[in-house]
Amino acid sequence: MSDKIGIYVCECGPNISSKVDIERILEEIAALEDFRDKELIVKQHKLLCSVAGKAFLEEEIKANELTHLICAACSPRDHDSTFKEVCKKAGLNPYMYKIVNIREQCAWVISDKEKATDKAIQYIHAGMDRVVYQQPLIEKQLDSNPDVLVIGGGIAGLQSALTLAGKNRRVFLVEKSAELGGTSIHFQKLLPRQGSDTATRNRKIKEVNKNPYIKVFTSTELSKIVGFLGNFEIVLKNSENDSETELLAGAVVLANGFQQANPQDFEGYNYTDNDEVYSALEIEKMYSETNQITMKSGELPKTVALVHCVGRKEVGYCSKICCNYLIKISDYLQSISSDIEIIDLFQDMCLPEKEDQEYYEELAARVIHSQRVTGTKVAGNKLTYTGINGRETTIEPDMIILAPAIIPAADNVHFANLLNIELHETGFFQEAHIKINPVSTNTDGVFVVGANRGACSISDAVIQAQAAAGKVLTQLIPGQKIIPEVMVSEILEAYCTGCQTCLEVCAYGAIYYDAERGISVVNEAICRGCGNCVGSCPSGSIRTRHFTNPQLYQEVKEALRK
Amino acid sequence: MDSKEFKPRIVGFLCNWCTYAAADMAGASRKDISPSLNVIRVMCSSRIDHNLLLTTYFNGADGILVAG
Repeated sequence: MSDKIGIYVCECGPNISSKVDIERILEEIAALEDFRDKELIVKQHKLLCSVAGKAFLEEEIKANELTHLICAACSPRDHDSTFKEVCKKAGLNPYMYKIVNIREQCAWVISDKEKATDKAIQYIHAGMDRVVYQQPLIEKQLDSNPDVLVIGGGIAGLQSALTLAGKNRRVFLVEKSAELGGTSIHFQKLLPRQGSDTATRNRKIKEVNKNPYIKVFTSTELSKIVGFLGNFEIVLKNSENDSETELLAGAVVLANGFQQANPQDFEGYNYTDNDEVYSALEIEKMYSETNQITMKSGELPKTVALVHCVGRKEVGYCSKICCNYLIKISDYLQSISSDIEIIDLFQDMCLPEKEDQEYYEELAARVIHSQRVTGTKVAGNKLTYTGINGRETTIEPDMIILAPAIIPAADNVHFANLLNIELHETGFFQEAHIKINPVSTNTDGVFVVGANRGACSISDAVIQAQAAAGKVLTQLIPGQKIIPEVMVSEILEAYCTGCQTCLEVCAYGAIYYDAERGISVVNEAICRGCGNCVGSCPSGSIRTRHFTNPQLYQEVKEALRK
Repeated sequence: MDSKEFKPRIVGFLCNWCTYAAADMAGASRKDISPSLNVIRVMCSSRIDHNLLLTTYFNGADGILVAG
């Protein structure tokens, strides 16, 4: 009889001790003398997670040469990892231990002390039955590559690269067009009232180009990527000469930007019929190239209508930046000529930043005739709008400037497939958690920044870029080993029929098909051990370590004994 | 206690990330939970397959809760 199970019941101060009869637990568990032919050591402690408690446990494991350990205490979500660390220090494989939750599931929810005690004994017993079926698991250590791939040379990509390189991190910056700058390359001025911003942006591009830690690839696209946090194998393709570059990186920051919707796609904006209807981006380009905003005839317009919310209803979200940039365009116009009449047709005015209101009010007082409307239509050179009183008015301005919705870049789907990250129903990327983890994705080591996760201002793009750089710098430290999850799925070759059902259900893209052997294989570094594949496998050839069928069956059996 | 009183035996498979956390919160809020429920933690409710459900019924469960 060499196996010894140590069962330690935590009083958790008065939390457990006042609600269950710990003495009776100790008696009844110790009375299971011939339990599976194993020696039982049953003790209690005031507070197992305290420094003294952990030292006590460590000493007990060593002195008694325990082969299995049960801690009857709180929720595994609180202290599972605490006791696993104690096991490691004491030389016991941490997967030969199990925490049994007698606080949240007994002491705190069953008011009758007798019943709570019965329940605690039942749970401990089930834990003991399970723990003898557990197997030691060995953690692996993998080398990690600290370099970072940044996709997209717009503001978000430039800022990510600069922040990472500021910490001497090597960055590969990939831009599909021939030059850096992204969409904002066309903007003459940036909000709010920063004057000419071409200088600021050009300075960023210059800094990136001369930074020894940043290698820039223009006219280049990502063609292939496999791997996981700390270990991505990447193939880049140059679109000019079709040459390929292979490289390694540890993380990916995706900043592929956005596109402006074509107003033609929305009902009521017949924009090709009239030469004098422009999208805001066309005006930005015209102004930055010629320093003028003129009609096709070359003359200055006398009246200009600004139309907000083009496609707002159809796409189903507010594009956040349009109200602001239309105000900026009216600023452009009035700086060209104070005689231009500006009619501003808005449905809702979205001015989210603290500086915005003042800027708007100042221009509204001098140059903008603002009018709240419930709808607008453009046909030929006529613009018809419906006022809030329901009355329709038709005007014939010299020039109409539309603010079309910001929509996802066309390559979002391509990147979602390549990097195995999720798309939101709008087509923008889905964050790991919109509030508490907003630049991470469901794939470790892949981050999304800028307008690819929803319309955003340039300052937001910079904030997100710096956030993602911070994430990379704390998750991917040079020289640090990566310890992948050990409670992962494995596929038994002999049973696998190669049906590939598991490939479809795996949310992490952790399974690939080995055509040569005709079986599916789990990439253990990517697998998170959810067991989705186990549930879906028709031939029962997959098991998830530490949550195997025999282990769960034992728990079920004991849970139903009485 | 009346020995004929029916005490159902219910097995609850709870997902570590959501429902098990909710059960923790129920505990922290001192909600009353019947001792009839036997909680088994899994890393994802999608792990539960028909084998596990049938095994649970064969072992005498009156009801199964899969929550995740």
